[in-house]
Amino acid sequence: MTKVTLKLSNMSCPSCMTKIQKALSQINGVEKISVLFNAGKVKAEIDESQTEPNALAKVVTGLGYPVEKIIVK
Amino acid sequence: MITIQNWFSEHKKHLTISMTVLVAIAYLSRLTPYNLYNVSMIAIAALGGVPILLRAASALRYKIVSIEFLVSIAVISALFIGEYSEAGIVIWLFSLGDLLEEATLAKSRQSIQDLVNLAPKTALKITDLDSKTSEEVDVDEVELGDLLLVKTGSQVPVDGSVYQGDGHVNEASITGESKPSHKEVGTPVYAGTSLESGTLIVQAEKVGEDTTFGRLIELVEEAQDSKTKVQKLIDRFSQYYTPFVLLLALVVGFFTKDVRLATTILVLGCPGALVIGVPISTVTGIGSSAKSGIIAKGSAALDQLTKIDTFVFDKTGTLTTGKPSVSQVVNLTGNERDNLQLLASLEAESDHPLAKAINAYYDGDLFPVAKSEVVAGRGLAAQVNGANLLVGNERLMSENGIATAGIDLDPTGSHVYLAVNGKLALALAIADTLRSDALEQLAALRKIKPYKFVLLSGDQQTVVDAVARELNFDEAHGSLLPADKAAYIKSLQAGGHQVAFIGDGINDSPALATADLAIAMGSGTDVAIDVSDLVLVKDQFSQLPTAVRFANKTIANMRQNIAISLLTVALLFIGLFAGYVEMGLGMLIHELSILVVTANGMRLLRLT
Repeated sequence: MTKVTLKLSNMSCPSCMTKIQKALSQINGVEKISVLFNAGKVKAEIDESQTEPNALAKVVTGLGYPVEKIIVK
Repeated sequence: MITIQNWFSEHKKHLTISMTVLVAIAYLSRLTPYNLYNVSMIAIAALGGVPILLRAASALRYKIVSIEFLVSIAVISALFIGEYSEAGIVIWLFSLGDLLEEATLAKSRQSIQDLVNLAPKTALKITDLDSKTSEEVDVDEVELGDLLLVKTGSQVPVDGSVYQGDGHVNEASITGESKPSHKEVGTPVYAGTSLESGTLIVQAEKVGEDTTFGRLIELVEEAQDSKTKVQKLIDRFSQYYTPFVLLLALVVGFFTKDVRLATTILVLGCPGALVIGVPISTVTGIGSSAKSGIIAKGSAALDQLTKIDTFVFDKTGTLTTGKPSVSQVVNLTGNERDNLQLLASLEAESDHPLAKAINAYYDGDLFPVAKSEVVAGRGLAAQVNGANLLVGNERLMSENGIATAGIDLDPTGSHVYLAVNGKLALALAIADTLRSDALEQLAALRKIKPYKFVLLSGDQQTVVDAVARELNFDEAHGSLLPADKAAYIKSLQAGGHQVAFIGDGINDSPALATADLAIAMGSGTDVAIDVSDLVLVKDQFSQLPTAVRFANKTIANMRQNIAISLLTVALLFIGLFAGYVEMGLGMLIHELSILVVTANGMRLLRLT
């Protein structure tokens, strides 16, 4: 499992949180998603045989939240 | 579509200003022969409606019914039935509210931002060790094992150990101790602390979020998004609430054929205040606490703190300073000042904790020591200023035929005797003293609520009893092993008590794990962070009553916000079916309720 942290530029409404959470949970191989609304961060664990960090970033960007930085550990 | 969406979110502010101008034009034009009212309103609906529609569509792709979706349907239907003004006003208010929310949220996050700003951002990476040349790199780029140069006045960028050089480091951001600590080759240093003198070359062992300081920040970030049971309930509720409102509007529209009523229901369906109310209290309450050095692991920890009725304290390092100091001086022959000078001169050469306490107590000139020799397990024999000295315990004195009986020294401390030329001159008691403000702060705590105070310690019962008497404890038990402490806490819990355990976070993990709330005091170390729910970073007893006050205020604030939002929803629906609330007014009340809960939550930013 790889830990991925996405740093977002801004999240204004708490409903963005549920949106991002739900959208990411629909990707295969993504687990333990936590959306830190106040810190503007999305953290998740991914199985790299099924998906990659950029796929997560693409979904989040697609929802209208630009991703500033991707940190992979 | 993504880029269009980004363009809209970047120009959100300009769009909202344009809409506001259009609203003004709409109303002013009514006073002139050229009525631009409807045209302006349609323009507003288009200008603000497109980004909302795009956001609704992108959410819908992931099968999520968002608030934007409800607003979009409502506005399109309003335009369809010719209610241009309703459509325009709703869009304008929704956009304005969005902008205001963003601004106030940014403000509410200020306290955590201040903390994050304290974290080191760059490091000087050594490129050539011999010439000590270095280049500035982003702290994220530092790898484990890298050698980094730290200059006087700058921050230590990583957790690691000193590789070369020495200096004094202020570690207040980690341990609360503001007295600089001396660092030399091999000693550990921590990110976020600052070098006050000297130059160090540090080898990185932990970087970024893995450092102690990084973990503190991460903890606060996660705590601010943590949820109490009530909040989890509300989240689940609001998840079903939005689709439910959509369904309700469809059903009402179908049976009454009243499109206006149906669209109004849609607008009211935004659960706004309910969703934002509790998080705003959490973020401001936890943020303010963190700024004051009270790190709560989550709002649940604060919630638990308000329910505690029994505080169980560890003694050493918690109620006491953890550093021995001279607590009693009995002068027997000669001048006390002269005797102390002789004693301190001799002790100045020793590293023994008792010697350190004596030298901290005596502050004056010292004699050179002519000759000194250690008497193992007993003390020292020496020649100072022409006098033959014996310094040590009762045993040293009795072995040299000097009687120490009858001197009334504090039985809880360690005793040090000084004999000058075979005659007992001075007797000292050295004890781990109570924190000077312990009594006062415990009284302050009891003023908030009549708590039960229990002292559990590994120390002997006589010492524990003395402390308990002085600080008005309800119970005190000594000679306990860590497991005994945990067992005692269990018995308190079985008696129906909500127990908080306060320790220094290093020992006592069983007790900390057993207690309903674990509080670590005065050490932001890794261990303390791991085992406790609440870390009091500043090594001050006054933090405890402050933490309780902050917790009470934060939890009260959350309850107020829940009440305000539920009341708003209830009032809106009653107003709607009684026929008083229209679409525009509904949106206005909705946005106002968000502003009210936000303003209420922001009060917590001013907690002191």
